[in-house]
Amino acid sequence: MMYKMESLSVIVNGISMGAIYGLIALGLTLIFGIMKIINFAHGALLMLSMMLSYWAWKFTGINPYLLIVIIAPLMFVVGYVTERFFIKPVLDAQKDVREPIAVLLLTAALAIVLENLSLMVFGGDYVMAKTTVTDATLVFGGVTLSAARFYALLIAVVVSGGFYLFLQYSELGRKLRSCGQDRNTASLMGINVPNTYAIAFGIGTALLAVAAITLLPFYYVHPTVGGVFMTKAFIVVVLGGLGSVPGALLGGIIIGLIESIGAQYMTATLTTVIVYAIFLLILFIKPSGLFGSRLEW
Amino acid sequence: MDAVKTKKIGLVVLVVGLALVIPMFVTKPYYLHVITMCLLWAYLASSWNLFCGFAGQLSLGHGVFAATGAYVAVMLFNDYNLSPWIGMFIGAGAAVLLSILIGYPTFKLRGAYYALATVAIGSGAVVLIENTQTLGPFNMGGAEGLIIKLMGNAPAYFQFMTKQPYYYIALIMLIIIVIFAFWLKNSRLGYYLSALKEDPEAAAALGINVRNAKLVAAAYSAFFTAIGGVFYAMLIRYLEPHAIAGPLMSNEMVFLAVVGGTGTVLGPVLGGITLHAISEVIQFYFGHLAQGLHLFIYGLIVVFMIMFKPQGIIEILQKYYNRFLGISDRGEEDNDVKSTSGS
Amino acid sequence: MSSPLLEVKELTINFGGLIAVNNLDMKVNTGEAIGLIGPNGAGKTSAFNLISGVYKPTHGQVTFNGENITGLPPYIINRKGIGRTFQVVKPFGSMTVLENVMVGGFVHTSKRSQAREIAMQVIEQVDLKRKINSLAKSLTLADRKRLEVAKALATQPKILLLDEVLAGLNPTEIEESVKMIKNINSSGISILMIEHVLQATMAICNHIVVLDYGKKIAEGTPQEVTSNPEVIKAYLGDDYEAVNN
Repeated sequence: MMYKMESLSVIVNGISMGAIYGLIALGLTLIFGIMKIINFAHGALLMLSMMLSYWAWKFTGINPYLLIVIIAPLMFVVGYVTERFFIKPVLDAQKDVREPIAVLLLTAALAIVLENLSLMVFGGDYVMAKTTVTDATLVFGGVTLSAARFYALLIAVVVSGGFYLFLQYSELGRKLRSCGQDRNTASLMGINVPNTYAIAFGIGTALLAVAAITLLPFYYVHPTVGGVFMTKAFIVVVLGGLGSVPGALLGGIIIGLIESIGAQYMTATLTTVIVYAIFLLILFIKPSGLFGSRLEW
Repeated sequence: MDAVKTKKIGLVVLVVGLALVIPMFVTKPYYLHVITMCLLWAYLASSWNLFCGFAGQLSLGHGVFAATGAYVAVMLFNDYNLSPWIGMFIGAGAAVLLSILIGYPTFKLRGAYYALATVAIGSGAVVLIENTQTLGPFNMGGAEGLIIKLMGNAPAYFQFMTKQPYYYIALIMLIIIVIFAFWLKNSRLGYYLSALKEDPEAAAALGINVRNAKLVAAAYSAFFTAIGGVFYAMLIRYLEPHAIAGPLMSNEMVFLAVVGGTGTVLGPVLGGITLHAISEVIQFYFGHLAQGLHLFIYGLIVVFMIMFKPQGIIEILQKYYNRFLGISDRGEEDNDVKSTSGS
Repeated sequence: MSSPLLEVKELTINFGGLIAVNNLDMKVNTGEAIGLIGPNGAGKTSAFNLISGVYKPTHGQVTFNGENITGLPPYIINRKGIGRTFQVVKPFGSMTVLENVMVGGFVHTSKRSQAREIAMQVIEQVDLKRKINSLAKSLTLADRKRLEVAKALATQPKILLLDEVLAGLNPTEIEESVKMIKNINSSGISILMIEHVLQATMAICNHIVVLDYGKKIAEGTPQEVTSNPEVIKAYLGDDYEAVNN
């Protein structure tokens, strides 16, 4: 009986971590799917969100979950401005180039700038927002779960679901999706494409902020924390299918489960290799992932 | 035409001549070490460029080839006393095989996906090395890394007590790779790579086997990168998985080549020397102010270059170079040298 | 009775329900200039793609010089002697005209001097010498079309597949291009050309094949084809004037 409950908590941990991956991937698939660019600054922006949230919590003592209301809009602005001032000019300059990799390199360089700025301003210590939630547990039918991870799961699912509805049924959502399908047609239909791109980037970054806050109570923050999350997010995006919201969530959960279950049998780093190997296999065999269309890539 | 050729040769003689006498004036080992590292990074950026710049593929995991060369040569040296001078070629051979193995499935991927695949491969390699303590009869060091067995002054084993020999070896390596890059650019393969970089479909319609062309270029690149990795190992005398195979190495190669000017012969050299020198200077004078300052500034420079001078430093210098040679910007005087060679 | 240089038999491609080319039989004899015409979407470019190896047919066969080349990759087909241009021209923008054509010139030699010689000859042939060191991306449309032909010509093909090389050109440019194509043909290279500019096509080609909805609906001399009621019907939706001229 104990064994079964232990495996249950492993599974729930995997699902909750996976849901967070999915939430992080959501922003990425939005940006990747609509603007067709790989945002290598995604991880650094996650880290920035975590840092800002941590220090906001440290100085104000406000419950991190409540801080979402402040940090998410703030990060939306950060994302919007980043796209408008840094990415847009490079994207425009590469309009005729077959493979616009300059944007990719730009975001990678921006990541370095953000990481080291963070190092200079916030220092290199590992910090965690230790609140009442951090060590709390919840008991469901005899199974003990980490509260922080459970809340993270809840928030991730709710936000993902809400985002999906937003994308499908709202005016802005439709604009975003048409830009992603065919920017020229969208432009002809009167949609301000450059502005929409900036909004997409802003929303993607805001989603990161939410994910960052769900991580804060149980995850150590450090200027380099973005890297691993970002690589995993890309893997989730490809696994789930470019531009697919349910794909991102499902893909995230799958990766989370693989890690969580794999960790029972081998070192954490080796499960990473397994995940990378799966990623490569998908790229070689079915790059459109679970829910993406064959033509998208 | 004669005047142009004379000027070109004169410039080359001047630069190489200066480079040869630098150790006579720069005697402090630390400074000479820094200059040697500048040369090494110029070399590594060039080796990345041989494939990625010429063929237009973004590899963000090139460190894996440096690591292959370094680990193979070092393990053979540490455990079997094989001179790194020989070991480097075995390591380079292994890197070539690896590049073909990787290339086969990845070359059909679109640009962004190819880049992601190389990130996964590079990161995966770091993790694999970290988790491997021994590889058969060889000690691989795992996460703690490998220390190169010290032999004192042993030129036959690529070990010297002073910095001068390292400087000259790096200089010779750099000269060799520049000559190779120039040769490649003007060869049939070079033309093919330029063509497939712009339009693979059009290239195929002109009889180009796109995949094979890429595989050959990738093999050249892997070969040179591996040898660079061996030099790095013998200079630093310590192999750490993250440093040689991870994003630090891989991304640096890319940034240096991009800032200097990808797809050109001298771009990566300029980028390597300039950017690394700047980074070292900042680190030396201001490093104590804040941790990460030099990388922050380095990142800003790269951002600036991509945004405002995407063709790289070489584009900035091209104007002055043309003026010095007395030819118009089109390079109409000389039909033999490709207009994008920048040499 | 010499066998045809290029022959397609029952050539068909089915794109998951859309049959772009349907049971096409067609041949080009050595030295001939054949026109391939038909309304938009008739499957003409698809036929080119099938012949040049870009598509693999679902059914049928392509024979060139007595050899079955069905389904071979484009680069091999080019090396065997079939050159093609693309409807939307594909110049290598950041390379000069000379460098562009040299790419083609390298097909049968690995020496730069030889490739250069071939390129110089071809550039002379298409009258692009005045732009020889200009970057391809700076060329006008008419010159880009010439460059497109030059690149293919440099591969020393036995047959040249021209895909709407005259589209977008003004009457003077069309006249010059017609002369150029006729010269290429008389130098011994067979031509198979897709065109909408019918008058020019009839001036160059001695035999025309008409496609509609992927099927061949007529073939014969230009006069036979243009007075064929089936052909006129197929074109009624498109360019009735062009046919009547």
